[in-house]
Formats: sequence, C-alpha cells, structure tokens
Amino acid sequence: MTSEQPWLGALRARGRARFEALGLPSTKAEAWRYFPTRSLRGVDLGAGRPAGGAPDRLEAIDPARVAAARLPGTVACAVFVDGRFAAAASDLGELPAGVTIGSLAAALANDPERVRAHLGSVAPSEGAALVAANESWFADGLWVDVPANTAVAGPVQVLFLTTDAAGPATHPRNVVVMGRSAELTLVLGWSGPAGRAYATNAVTELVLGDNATLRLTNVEDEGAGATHVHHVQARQGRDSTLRTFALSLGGESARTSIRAELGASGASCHLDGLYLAAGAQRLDHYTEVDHQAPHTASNQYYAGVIDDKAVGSYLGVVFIREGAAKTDASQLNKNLLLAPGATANSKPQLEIDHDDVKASHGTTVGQLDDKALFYLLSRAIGPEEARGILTLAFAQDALSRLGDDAYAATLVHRVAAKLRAEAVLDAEAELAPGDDDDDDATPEGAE
Amino acid sequence: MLSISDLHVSVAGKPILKGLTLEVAAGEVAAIMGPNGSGKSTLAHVLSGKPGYEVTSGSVTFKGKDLLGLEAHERAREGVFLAFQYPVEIPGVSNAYFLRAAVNAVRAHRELPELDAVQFLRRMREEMKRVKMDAQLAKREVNSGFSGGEKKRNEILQMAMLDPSLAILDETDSGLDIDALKAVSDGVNLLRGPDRAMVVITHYQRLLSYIVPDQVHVLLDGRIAMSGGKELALELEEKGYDWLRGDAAAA
Repeated sequence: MTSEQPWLGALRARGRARFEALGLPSTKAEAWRYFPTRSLRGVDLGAGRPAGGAPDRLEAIDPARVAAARLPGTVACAVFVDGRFAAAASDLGELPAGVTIGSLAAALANDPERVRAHLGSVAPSEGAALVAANESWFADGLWVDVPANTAVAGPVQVLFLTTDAAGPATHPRNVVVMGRSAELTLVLGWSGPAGRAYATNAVTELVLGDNATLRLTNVEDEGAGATHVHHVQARQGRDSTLRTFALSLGGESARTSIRAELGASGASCHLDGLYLAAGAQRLDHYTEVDHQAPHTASNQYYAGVIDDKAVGSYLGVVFIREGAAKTDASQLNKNLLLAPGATANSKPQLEIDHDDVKASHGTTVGQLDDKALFYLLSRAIGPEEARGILTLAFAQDALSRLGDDAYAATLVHRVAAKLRAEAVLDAEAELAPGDDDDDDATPEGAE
Repeated sequence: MLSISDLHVSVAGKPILKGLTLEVAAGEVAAIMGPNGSGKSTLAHVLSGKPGYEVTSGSVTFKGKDLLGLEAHERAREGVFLAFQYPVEIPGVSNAYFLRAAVNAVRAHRELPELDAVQFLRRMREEMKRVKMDAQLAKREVNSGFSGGEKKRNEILQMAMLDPSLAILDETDSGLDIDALKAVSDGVNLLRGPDRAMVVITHYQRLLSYIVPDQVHVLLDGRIAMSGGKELALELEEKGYDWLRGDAAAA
C-alpha cells in the first residue's frame, strides 16, 4: 500500500491531537450522562493501527459465519473483518451503473479527491473525543457513492465482524454519499466473539443530496464483552428523507448516537429504535435532530425492553433554530421494565428558538400491565408465555417501523428470540390473514 | 361441581366475603344477585384466582379439587372460566392468536393434541357463527377498539372455544343495550348443558329474563342472605334489596 495522502495524514494528526486534548467523554457531559466510558479506560485505542502505517494481515473469515449472517432479500453484502474490507467474503452483486459500494481505504487509493470532499466534513471531530479517535485511527470502513437519479433496487447489507484476532479496538469509518434523488437501503450489522472484551468505535457519515432517500437499519449485536460506540451523522439536502432504525441487542455496553442536520427546506428524518437490554447490559441511544431550515420534519420513536439489572437509556435533543418556520417535530420514548433491578433513563428534550412550529415529546416507563396479564392467565395461558406475549406486543409498535423488506422479518425473529417469544411469533404468523383465505371467499358468480 | 363453604375473603385487609356458602351442581345455572358492594365481583375474582384477594378462612372445592390451591391459569385449565365484566384490551396481540394459545393450553392439559392453524381457524369460524360474532373481529387485536357488545360477545366466543365445566359471568349485562344483551344471552343459552355449571352474577333482574336461572341466590354483605327459584329475581325486582336487609337484620 502506498503511503497516505498528506491531507489524510493531517486529518489523522488533527484527530489524534483532539482526542488527546479531550480525553474520554465523562458522564458530566450532557450527551454522555447515561453512558459511562469507563470500560474504555486503559484500552489502547490506537493499538489496532498505527496512523499511516501498513495494514495488518486480514484475518480469514469463516464463509459459514458470513452465510449465517446474510439477511434474506439483500441484493449485496459488503463484509468488514476487524475493521477492514474483506473482498473475498463480500458479494457486491450487480449494482446499477455508477454506484460504488465497498472499501473506504480502496476509494482513498483510487479516487482520493472524491473521498476528501466528504470524509470528516459531516461528523466533525471538534469537541467529540471518540469521533476524533476514529479520525486518527480508522483503517477502513464502508464507502458508498450513489450518483444522482439512481436507485439501488434492494437492501444492501454491510457486516462488521470482529474476530478473536482483532486488536483491542477497531475504528470503522463509513462514508455514504447520495446524489440528488438517489435511493438506497442499507442494513449495517455489528457482531463479534462472546468470550473477550473488545471495543468498536465507529463513525458513519451520511450525505443526502436534494430529494435523496436513505433507509439505514443498524443492528448492534456485539459479543457479550464488547464496548460498542457508533456515531452516525447526516447532512440532509432539500426534500431529502432519512429513515433510521437502531436495533440494539448485544454488547456489554453499547451506544448508538445519531445526529441529523435538516439544513434545507423540506428535509425530513424518521429516527426509530428498539433496545433489548438484559443481564448487566447497558444500552444507550442518543439523538440530536437539528432543524435549521423551514418546513423540515422529524419524528422519533424509541422503545426499550429492560430486564434483570440492565440499563436502557434514551436521550434525545431536538433543536428548532431561529427561522425554521413550519417545523414539525415529535419524539417518543417508551420503556418496559421486566425486573425490579432494571433501569430506564429517558430524556426527550426540545429546544425551540422559533414560534411557528409544531413540536411534541413524550416518555413512558412502565411494567407489564397486571390486568392484561391476569386476562391471559384466566384463559389458561401459562405465566411465562403470557409475559412473552405481552412483551412482544409492547415491541410491536417499534418493530412495525422496520418496514416490509424480507430482512425485517428476520430481525423481528431475532428480537422475539431475545424476548423468549419466538413461539408466539411463529404461531402469530401461522394465523396471519394471508393464510386465512376461505372465510372471505365468495364463489364466483354466486348469488 | 362447585362447593363453597364458609368463605371469608379480605381485600387490602378489609373483609368483603364473610362466610359465604354456596353449592352449584353440574347442569345448573345459578344466579347471584346483590346490590353494589355486596361482594359479587369479589366472589367472581376469588374463584378465578385474581391476585389481591386474601382468603382468611373457608374452602372452595371444584370437581372434588381444592380450587384455592391452584394458580389462575391452572384453574382455567381445570375448566373454570370467568367472563369479565370489563374485558381487557391487549393491543399488539391478535384475537385469533390469543384464542389459539388459550385453546391449546386447555387441550394440552386434557391430553388432547394441539389444534394446528387450519383446524383452529375452522373451529373458530364455526363458533363465531354460532355466537353470531363478526368474523373480522378474529383478525383484530384483542378487544382493542371493540364496542361494549363486541367485547362481551368475544367473552362468549372464548367460553364456547374453551368449553369450561364452570362458567362465571361477572355482570355480563353491564353496559349493554337491549339488542346486545339479547345476543349475548342467546350465546350463553347455547352453551347451557348437563355437564356445565354456570354462575351468573348480576345486579339486575333483566338479564335473568333472557338467561333463566335454576337457582337465585341473594348476596348481601358478604354472605348468601336468601336462595330460591327464578321467581325470587322477580320478587327482588319489585321489592328491592332493602326488604331483605331488614329481614336479615331481624333474623
């Protein structure tokens, strides 16, 4: 590999200096109040890759692991192993002309000026210690470039797999650039070994051109000892639409933060999420929606199911800046606590500097409804099944926001499995209206 | 079938049932009438195993078993069914799924094979027709957005599907207009049979014009103050409960 461009070296040096000046985020900072980064203390975040150095050997990945993770209905799958693109394990299928999906490192080598225009421009490292650390030490990540007026027909899956050979931390840097009226669905998945502590510190930058539509489903299912921090930031053009779904299942502590900048009229974002925290897990979601232009819209729906001694958190801030007239913003966070030791932190916040807007927020923290539980028990349904039925029902509103793609059904199954309600889901599917056609059937011509 | 002996029940430390004794035989429809606060709903809830009711003394035997020793779901599996005064809405759960889970739990307890989706849906459609319930309601979420009449009909459908030996109807007439009341009563009457006992709890005589009881028991201040035939309901309608109160006080 050739040595990096001087501008990239300067970017990395800037990131490193900022990280060193800032140190790890403290819970005294509002955005981090529910997510202590103590598990990162003492971790040599730069050990994975000396800045500007040669790439490490790419770990061979078991094809069966990739095959097992492949979601149905996805038209392509880019695989990253320990933070680096694994071309042999990837299946980039047939993409429309002009569409690039693959390695950021490769794009930096092949078309550095194109990457330079976007890298670090959406998610600034200033004042953001872990974004700065990523800027300093990223080795690779996803590069997506969809030209104007181009739609990628089906969902594209991206797998970030950590293996036992990974260093203490990986820093994937993803950059997605969507031209005017471009359309894409991305499904990012994060997983790793259960038996060791490791850290993932990812940054995803999204550039949505005017009228572009991006659906981003993020499935955090890291290994049980992992610390996972992923910051997603989007800059949205006029009339563009961003839909995200942040599903959090795994990791010892995991945080997914999303900041959407609605900088042009007509831009909208829909940020949804579901987190299932159990054991001693700490799952954290932070969102920031910045309405900077008139006629922008955002809505958020995050639901948490928290069991055992786990902690689930949602902190969301909506800024409505002066001049952002006719803005429409809503945020809702609902939590279900399944055990006396479980904790939900919920803080939706509105900061409004313009009068002529519609904004609402709400939060609930509750337990399974005793009346509903007794109703099920009185109908002979056992206590464990009854709890499973009601817990899955609670998650339904969030799950319905995953959309109708085939991969969504697989994710719903994964959720049901973690809630120990797979049997409920299977039985529901068997009774779905589609299977039930003879009751509306009217014989042709019957009078 | 059901034998309640000197039952004392408290709620939050306050005695509600104070020595209730009652026998209901198989095939019999027993009406329990009484004014508000007499303990009617407490009786229904304590029989079905709802938490929050403390039995301080007395016993309840159902088909020879100690009913009070069983959890709510075990009682349902043994054949106790409570038609709720206020059926619970459960958003996110389809009525068909809910019913099938219930039916199969009871079948498993009776050592019958589970019904698969096709068998279940066929059986459910038959029963829905029998109790004159709109087939679309099966696809909806349990009781969510149902009218008062639809909710009560859904209770009767569940009763028909679960085929209980003891059905307790807790103020099934409350909140129903006369047409809905008739329809629900028709459903209940269809389910009368020699192997099934029914306990019909009501405040008003009007329900008993449609579901004609074999026995009428008057519950007053936590115990049965008087028992008689169906004509007792009419007498109560005419004289009110105060007549009995005076009587009980004098006795």
